[in-house]
Amino acid sequence: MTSPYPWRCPSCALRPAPLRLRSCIGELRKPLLRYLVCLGLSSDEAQDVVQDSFVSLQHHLAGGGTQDNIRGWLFRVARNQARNRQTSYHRRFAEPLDSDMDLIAAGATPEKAVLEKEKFRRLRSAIGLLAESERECLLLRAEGLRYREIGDVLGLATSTVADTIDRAIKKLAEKCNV
Amino acid sequence: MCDFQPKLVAWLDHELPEDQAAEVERHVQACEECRAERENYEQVSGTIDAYCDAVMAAKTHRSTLRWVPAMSGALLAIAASVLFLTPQRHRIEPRSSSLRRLKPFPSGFLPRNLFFQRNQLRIKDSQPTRASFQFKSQFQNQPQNGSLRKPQYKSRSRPKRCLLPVRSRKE
Repeated sequence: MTSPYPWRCPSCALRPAPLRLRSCIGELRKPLLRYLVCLGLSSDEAQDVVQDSFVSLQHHLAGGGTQDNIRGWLFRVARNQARNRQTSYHRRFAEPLDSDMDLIAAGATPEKAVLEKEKFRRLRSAIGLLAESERECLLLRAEGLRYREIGDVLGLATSTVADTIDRAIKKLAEKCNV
Repeated sequence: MCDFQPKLVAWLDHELPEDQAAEVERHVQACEECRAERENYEQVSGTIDAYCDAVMAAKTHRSTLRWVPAMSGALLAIAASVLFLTPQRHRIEPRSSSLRRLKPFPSGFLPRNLFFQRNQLRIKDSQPTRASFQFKSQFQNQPQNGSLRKPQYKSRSRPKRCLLPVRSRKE
C-alpha cells in the first residue's frame, strides 16, 4: 500500500522506499511529546499539543504545503502551540521544568538512584543558568534534530545554532563537572 | 587550548562536512586533551538525554497516579447506587414442583403453539368432557328429602376443577 502523500520521512530519507505517513507519525510522536514535556507542559497538555500538531501536519500536507524538513515544521508548530498555552491560563496547571520532582532513572538500584538524583539536580541548576536560546537548542538536539532543523524551528541560522550548542554544552560540562 | 576543540561538538553531532570530520577524527586519535573533552561532552549529552527521559517518566507517572483515586471513587459510587437505589424484585417461589406442573400456564408466558399443546395434554389424561361434567353436577345437586339445596356449581363461568390426580409430596 502506497502512502497517500508523496513525501518521505526526513529522518528516514536515506531509505529507498517511501514510508507511510502513519509510520512517520509513530516515529516522531515520542520525541515531540518528550520535547514538550521538557519545555514545561504537563503530560496532558503535551498530548493535546501533539495531537493538534499532527492534525495541522495532515492539513498542511493535504493542502500541498512544502514537504522538505517536515520534522522541523512539526516541531515549530508544536513549539508555537506550547508557547501559546504557556501564556494562557493553562500555564497555571502545568509544571515548570525546574520543579521539585523526583527524577529517578528507570530500573535503578537505590545507590544508583541517589547518584542519578544528585546528577540531575546539578544538571537542572546548570540548565537554569543557560540562556533561553541555548536551552531550547539543547532540548531540540536531545530529540535528534539536525542543526538545520533546529534553525528552522527557532528561526536561527545553522551556524548560529552550532555556536549556541557548542557554547551550551561547554557551559554544562563546566558547571556539572560530570 | 587545542584549535580543534570548537569543532568537537559539531563533529560529535555529525554536522561537519566529510573532509573536516575526517581531519578532526585523526586529530582526536592523536590528542589526549581532545579525547578527554570528547568523553566529557558525550557524558553531558547522555545526562541530558537521561534527564529528559526522567522528566517525561515523572510527569507521565504523576498524571496517571492522579487519576487512580478519582476513577476508583467513581466506580465505588456507581456500584453503591446500583446496589442500594434500584428497587428489589420479590420472586414468589411455587410451593412445590408438582403444583407448578399442574397449574395451567397463562397464554402470555408461553408461545401460542406450546400453550395449546400443554393444555391439550392436560385435558387428555382421563379428564371428563364438559358435557359429562355438567350432567354429573346436576345429578349430584338434586334436592334431597324435600329440602331446597342450592347447587354448588351453577355458573358456567366457574373455572373447571382440575381432575388430574394430585401427586403426593413423597413422590
